[in-house]
Amino acid sequence: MSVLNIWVKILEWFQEKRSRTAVITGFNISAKEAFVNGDVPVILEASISKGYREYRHQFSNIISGSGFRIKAHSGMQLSKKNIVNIGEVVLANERLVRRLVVLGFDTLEVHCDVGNHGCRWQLHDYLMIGE
Amino acid sequence: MVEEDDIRFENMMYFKNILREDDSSTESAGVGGKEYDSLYAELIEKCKPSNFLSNQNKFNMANDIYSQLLKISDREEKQVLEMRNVAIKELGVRIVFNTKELYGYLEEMLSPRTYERLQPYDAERVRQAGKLYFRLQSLNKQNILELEQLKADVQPFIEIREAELRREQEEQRRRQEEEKQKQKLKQQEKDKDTENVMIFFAVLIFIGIIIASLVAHKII
Amino acid sequence: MEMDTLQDSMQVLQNASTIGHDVWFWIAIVEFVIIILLLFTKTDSKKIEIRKKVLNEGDIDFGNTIKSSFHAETLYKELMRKCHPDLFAPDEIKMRVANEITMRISKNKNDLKELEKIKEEAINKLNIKF
Repeated sequence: MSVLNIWVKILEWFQEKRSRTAVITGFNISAKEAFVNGDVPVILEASISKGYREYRHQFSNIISGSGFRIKAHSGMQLSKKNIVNIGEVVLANERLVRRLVVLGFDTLEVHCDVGNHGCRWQLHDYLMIGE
Repeated sequence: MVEEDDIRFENMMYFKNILREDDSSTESAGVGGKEYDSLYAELIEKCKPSNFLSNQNKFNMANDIYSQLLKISDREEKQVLEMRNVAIKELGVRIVFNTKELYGYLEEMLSPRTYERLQPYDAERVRQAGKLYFRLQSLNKQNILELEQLKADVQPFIEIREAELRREQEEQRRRQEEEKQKQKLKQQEKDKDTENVMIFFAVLIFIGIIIASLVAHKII
Repeated sequence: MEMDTLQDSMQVLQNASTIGHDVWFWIAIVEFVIIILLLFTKTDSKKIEIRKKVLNEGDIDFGNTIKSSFHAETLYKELMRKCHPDLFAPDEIKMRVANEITMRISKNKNDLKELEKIKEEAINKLNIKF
């Protein structure tokens, strides 16, 4: 174990922290713009959550949170179909899924601001490695 | 940043989209081999008027059915089922969606072998299953209307078997939960042990540093 | 009296210096623990490589993903209905084009940008009205 490894680990930690924040803020800014422009009827808000223990993989960031949570601010209960739709569109974006997995996320969670139900997916299943 | 989990999430299972890449092939209505992700999608494809150009009556009927399908949405299950029944009777269309699954389900529920293995052995039940299984074999596997009629007729017989299966599943779930709890307890014990070890070493280091500083200050 | 004040002031100084030592003492312990942890956890060079590769892929179009969540399904259904090859029988060339277009539609089911491009192509090549 060399001193260089320690330095690399420290740099890696800061880089990962910055990249995770970039993904969350990038998503939130785009969501707000889309709502303001009238492209979507609902504001989506991304945040980091604890994640689901059974979905862990080698990149999972257990300390800072491994859940990528999307909250739909609609003011009313969204149907399950809408919630599943939002999740499936995110999962269909291969680049986004790869980036989320590599940044330590293992769970995608989608819910709305009314009621306490939501859906979650294991990101690792949607990596499409080799396809 | 990490939120508390006060929301009940449903775990969505991973599945590949059934709609294959070569969905846009030019197979005519009634020819099987393709799979559809909904009954509505199948009806839309198979009831197109262009599929019945050779028969004027069917062409007109298909026109009516197709225009009615475009007015309703795929969420209106009852109306879609009605359209399906009309399409099968009037146009002779063969519906693939759910037919295979329904046939498989009836085969499983009515197979005499299933009832032969049950304890205690019920000869009357096995004989009844044999009769119904023979009736299933005599039907057209690809005619969903006939399969649904049979299912309606044998519903009381199937319900008994379904209740038994539900009981078995519940018992299995209970056993799995018990095992999970045991594993959780084991894991908790392990975590406690590792915590204790970490505290022990932390205290050792701390004492070591204190002794070192005391020595440095020439107190010891 | 003077000796007392001297002694008092010496004691104050001593206390001050030990307090200073205590703060640095605790900082030193924390740093020591962090160093021990970092020394004894292994670095996975493969993980670092994969992470670098994925993060260097470029920016992600979040706007498209968000809009697709609400509009892609409707457009997809409309396109699948209007671009089905059977609608262009018996023109074989158009049927072939329609075939390719529907394959691309099902591939990009959840991508609104791609579906809109395909829609324009369908209008140009197949003369479809939307």
